[in-house]
Amino acid sequence: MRAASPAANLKVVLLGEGRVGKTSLLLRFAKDEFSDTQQATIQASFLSKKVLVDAETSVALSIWDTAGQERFHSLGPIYYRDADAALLVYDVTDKDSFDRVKSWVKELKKMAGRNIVLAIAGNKIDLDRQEELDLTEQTEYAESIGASHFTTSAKLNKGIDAVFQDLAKRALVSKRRAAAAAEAVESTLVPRRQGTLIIDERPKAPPKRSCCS
Amino acid sequence: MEERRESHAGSSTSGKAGLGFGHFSSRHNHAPSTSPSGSPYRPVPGQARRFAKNSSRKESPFTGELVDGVPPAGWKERIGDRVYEANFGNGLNETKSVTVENGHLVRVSSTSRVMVSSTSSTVRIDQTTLVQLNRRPGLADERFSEDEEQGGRLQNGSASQATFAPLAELSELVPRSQSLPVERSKWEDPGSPPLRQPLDRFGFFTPPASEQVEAATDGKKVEKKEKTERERDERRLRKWRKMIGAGGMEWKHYCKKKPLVVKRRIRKGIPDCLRGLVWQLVSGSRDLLLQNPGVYEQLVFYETSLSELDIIRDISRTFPSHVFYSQRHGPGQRSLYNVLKAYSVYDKEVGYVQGMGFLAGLLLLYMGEEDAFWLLVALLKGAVHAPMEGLFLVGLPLVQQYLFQFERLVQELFPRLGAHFEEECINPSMYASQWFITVFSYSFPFSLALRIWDVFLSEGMKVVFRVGLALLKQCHDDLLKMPFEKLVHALRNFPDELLDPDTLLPIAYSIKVSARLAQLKEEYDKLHNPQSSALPEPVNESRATGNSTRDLVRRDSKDGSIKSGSNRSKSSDSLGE
Repeated sequence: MRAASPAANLKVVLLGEGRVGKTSLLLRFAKDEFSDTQQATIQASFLSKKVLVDAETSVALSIWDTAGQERFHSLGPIYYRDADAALLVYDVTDKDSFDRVKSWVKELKKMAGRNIVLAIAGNKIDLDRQEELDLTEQTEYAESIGASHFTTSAKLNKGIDAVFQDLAKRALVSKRRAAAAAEAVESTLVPRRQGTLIIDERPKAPPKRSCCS
Repeated sequence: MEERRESHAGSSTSGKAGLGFGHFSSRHNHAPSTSPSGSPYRPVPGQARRFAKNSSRKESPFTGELVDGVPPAGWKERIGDRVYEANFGNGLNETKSVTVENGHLVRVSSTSRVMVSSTSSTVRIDQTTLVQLNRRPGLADERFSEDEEQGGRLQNGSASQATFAPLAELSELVPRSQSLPVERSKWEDPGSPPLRQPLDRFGFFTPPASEQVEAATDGKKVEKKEKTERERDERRLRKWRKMIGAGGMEWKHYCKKKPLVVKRRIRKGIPDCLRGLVWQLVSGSRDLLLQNPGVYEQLVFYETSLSELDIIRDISRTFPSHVFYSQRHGPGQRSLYNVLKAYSVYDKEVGYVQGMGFLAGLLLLYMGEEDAFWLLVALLKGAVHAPMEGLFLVGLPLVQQYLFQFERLVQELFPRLGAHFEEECINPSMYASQWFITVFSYSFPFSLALRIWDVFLSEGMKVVFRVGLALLKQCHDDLLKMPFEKLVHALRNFPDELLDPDTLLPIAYSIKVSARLAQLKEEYDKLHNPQSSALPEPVNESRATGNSTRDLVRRDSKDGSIKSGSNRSKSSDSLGE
C-alpha cells in the first residue's frame, strides 16, 4: 500500500458494444483475473483501483462497467454523466463494434461534461491471427476526436495498464485545467455581472460532488 | 449464416422423459391424428425396428420407408433440397423439418426440437418417402454406441435414437441428478476434451480449486443439508402428485378448491422434478401452448429476426458455468438461441434484450423449448400477472418504475438505510436492476433463484421486491456503516448464509408490500406519464398495473395478443398492431 494519498479520484466509465470485452478488460486491470466464460453484463458494476501516473502522483480510478446493449442506455446516464474519462471499447475482429464507439462518442458529447477524456481500446487482439491488423481508420478517427487509441487483449493482458494509465494521466490534467479555468471564469465574470446587473448569468455552481469520487 | 444454420439444425430440448412429465406433451393432449394407421404419435415398435435395421447400413442410414400410408396434405420443399417440411394433415398444422443430404435423412431438427415429449412422429423425406420416427420412453437410458463416438451412426436401438442423437445427449443432461457427473462423458462432444470439473446438483460447475479449501470445511454440512432437502422433497412429492393429478387434470380444480394450500406449498418450494410442469401450470403458459399449435415452429424456422446477431453474441454468456450451456453450439445453446429468436420475432417491439437469456435459460433447464417459449410469452405479455415486457421495451420503463418503487420502499421501511444510500449516492439501479430484469437468476445461488421463481410465477413480481427488501433488512446494520465503494460491492455480494432460501424467504414473506406498491405505482405514473393512455408505451404500462384489470389482461393476452402473435408470424411483414 502506498502511503501517499491519491492526488485525485477520477470517475471512469467503460462503454461499447456488447461482448467486446469491457468486463474482461476491467477485471484484468483491477483484479488481474480473466475468464473465458464471462457472463453478459446486465447491470453496471463498479470497481476501483489506484494508478500511478508518475513517480509521486497516484490517482484513484472509480470505474463503472456498463451493459453493452443499446436498450440499457436509459440506465446509463448516471454512470457517464459526470465521468472524468470514458474508455470506449471495440472488438478488433468485429468491424461493427467500432461503429458503436462512434455513436458513443456522439452520445457523450451531448450528455457528458465537456472535459471528459476519451480513450479507445481495440480489444481481443489475441484473436486476430490471420492478417496484420489494419487499424488506420480507427486510429485516425481517435485522433480526430482527440482520443488516444490502444490495442488490448484482456486474455493475454496486453496494453491494458497502458490504457488506464493514459486515461488517468490525461483526465488528471484535464480536471486540473478545468478547475483552473473555472476559477478564471469566475474571476472574470464576477465584476462584469456587477456592472451590468444581469442576475441570472451567475456562473454555474461548481459541479456537485460526483457520486463515486 | 453458417452460425444460424448450425443453431437451427440439430436440436434440442429435452429428454424430458426422465423428468416425469413427458406425457404432458401438447401433442398428446390433442385429438388423435386422422392417419388410418393410427396416431403417428404413437410408437410403432415393429416399424421402428425395421427402420433401425436400415440405419445400420453405413452408406444409407435412412433410406426412408413409407410407414404411414397417408401422404401428408400440402407438404412442400424448403431451402433447396436440404430441408423439407411435412404437413401431417391432422388438422394441427404441424410442420417438421428434416435435413437431407444426397437423399438420406441426416437430421430431423424441427421434429426433435418441437416434439419435446411425444413418443413418435412421421417425417416426409421426399415425394415417396415418409419416415416414422419413434422415441421410446426409455430413451433416457439409452447410450451412444462406440460407433457414434467415432462419427458413425447409431447401429442399435430404435430409429429415433439415431435420429434424435442430440436428444439423447440432452436427456442425460436434463435430470439434474446426482448421477450427472458420472455420466458426463456420454453426452460429451466426441471432439472435446473430457470434462473434469465437478458439478453441483443443479448442473453448475463447482468453483475451481482456489476456493476449495473454504468449501471443504462446510462440505459435510452442505451434503447433509442437501440430503434433508431431498428427503423433504420426496415427502412433498407425493402430495404434489396428488394435487396435480394425471396430466395436470386436477390442478385447476385444486387451485380453486384450496388456493391457500396451493400457495403455501408453492412457497415451501415445488419439488424439483415437477417444477417444469407446475411452472407451466401456474404461469398459464400451458394454455397458451395448447391454444397456439405450430406457432413456435413457425417462428423458429421460417421467420428471421433482426436480433439474431445480438442473441448469438450473448448465447455463450448466459449461464456459462452451467453444464447445459457450457458447450459451444451444444444442445443447450441451440435451444436458448431458438427460444430467444422465436420471441424476438413474436414480439418485435421488445425483440431481444440482454437479460431475457437468463429468463429463458432458467426455464430451459426445466422444460422443452416450446414450453419455455410460451412461458416467456406468458410472463412478458402477462397471462396471469402484470406483463413484464416493460422491463425490456425501449427506455426500460418498467425497470424505472420498479426501481422508483423499490427506492421508496427502502426509504419507508428502513429510513436510516434509505438516508445512508442517498448520502452515499447509491442509486437502486446500481444493485437492484438485475433483480427485476432477471428475477434473481443472474447472480444468485440457483437454489434460491428456483425458490423465488416458484413464488414469482404464482404470485407475481412482488416477491422480487420482498426478497430484495429482505436482503437489505438482513444486512441493514452492516450496510449502514459502509461507504460508497463497500456498499456497491456488498449489495452485489451478499453473504452466503443470508442466501439460504429457507431463512431468507420467510423473512421476505413477512414484508408486506402489495398495497404500498400499488400506491407508489400511481405516484410514479403521475410523475412520469401523466397521460398514460395517450402514449403507445404506457399502454403496456397501464396493463402492468393493478388487479382490477387482471381479468381483462388475461382475456387480452390469450385471445388478443397471442393470436395476433400467430398472425404476425404468418405475415412477417406486418409489424403488429
